[in-house]
Amino acid sequence: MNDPAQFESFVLAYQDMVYTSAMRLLGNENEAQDVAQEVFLRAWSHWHELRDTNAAGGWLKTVARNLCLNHLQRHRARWTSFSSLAREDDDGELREPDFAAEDVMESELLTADQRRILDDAIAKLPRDQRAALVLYHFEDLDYADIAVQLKVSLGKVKTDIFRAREALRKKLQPTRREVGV
Amino acid sequence: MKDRQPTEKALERWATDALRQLPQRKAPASLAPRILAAVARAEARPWYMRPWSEWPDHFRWMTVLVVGALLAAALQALAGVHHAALPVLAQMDDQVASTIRPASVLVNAMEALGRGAVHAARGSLGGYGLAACAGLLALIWGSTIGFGATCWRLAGERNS
Repeated sequence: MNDPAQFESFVLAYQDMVYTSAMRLLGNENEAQDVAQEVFLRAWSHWHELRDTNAAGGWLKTVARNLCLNHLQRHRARWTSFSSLAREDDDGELREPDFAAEDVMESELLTADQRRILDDAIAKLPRDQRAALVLYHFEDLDYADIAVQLKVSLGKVKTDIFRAREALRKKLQPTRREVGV
Repeated sequence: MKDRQPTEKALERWATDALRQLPQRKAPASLAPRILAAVARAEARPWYMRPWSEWPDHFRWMTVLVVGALLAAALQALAGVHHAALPVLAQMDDQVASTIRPASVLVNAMEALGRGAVHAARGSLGGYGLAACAGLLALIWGSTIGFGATCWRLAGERNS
C-alpha cells in the first residue's frame, strides 16, 4: 500500500521546514520535535494523497501550524501566567514606543551572527507574543485572523506583535552598534 | 511628542525585512529516525487501534450492521414505550395531548422504519438466524470496543 522508502525521502525533504515552523511558533525544541513527528504521522496516514502532489509542502505547513496552535491553546492556562497577558495595559492601547521614528533602522542585510541572535530572540519571546509575531510575519495571517486563531482580542494581537518587534529590535541593537551600523 | 504611527510602521517594516532573512532551522539529526520509528510503530498497530476508516473491510461492514441492528432495536423499544404510554396519554388533558401528539407521528415513522429493517433481515436470514447473527455481532462489537479501548489506554500510558 504505502512505500516506506519514498516516505523517508519525503521526511528528509520536508523535515527542516516543518521543524522550523513548529520551532518558531512554540520556541521549544522538544515540543517542536513532538509536533513535527505528529505532522509526519498524519502525512503517513494521507500518504496516498500526498505522494503525488505538489501541494504536500503547503499541506505540511498548514497541519504544523494547526497542531502548534492546538498545543498553545492546550497549554494556555499555564503560559498566560508567565506572559505579559497579566499586564494591565495589554488588551488595548499600545504603549508609547521608547524610541523615535528616526531611531528605527532602515532595511539592511543581517550578518549570520545577527540572524542567529534574532532566531534565538524569537524563541525567547513570551509565548503569546511569539505566536502572534510568527503568525503575522511567517504565516502571513492578518491581525483579525490571528485574533481568531489565538482566541484573543484584536487589541491584544496588535499589542503583542508590537512588543515582540520592539523586543527583537532591542536584542539586535547592541550587535548593530558593535558592527557599526 | 514622538510621532507614534510612523514609528510603528517603520518598526513593522524593519521586522518584516529582518525576519524574511532568517533561514530555515536545521532539524535535529534524530528527528527523521524518530519519525520513521513512530510510523513503523503506527503500522504495527492492530486494526482495532487504528481509525475506523483504516479497519479491514469486513469489520467495517460488521460495525455498520451492528449499528443498524442496535438502531432498529432502539426504535422497537421506543415504539413499545410509546404504545405503553398511549393509554396514559389518552387520559391526559386535551391540550397537553395535542401538544405531544405531533411527536407521535415521528415515533410512528421511526417504528415503521425499524420494523421494515427487521422484517427485511428476517426474510433473508430467518428468525433464529437473525437473532444468532445479532447476538454474535453484538458480542464482537462489545468485545472489540472493550479490548480496543483497553489497548489504546495502555498504549497511551506507555507513550506518555
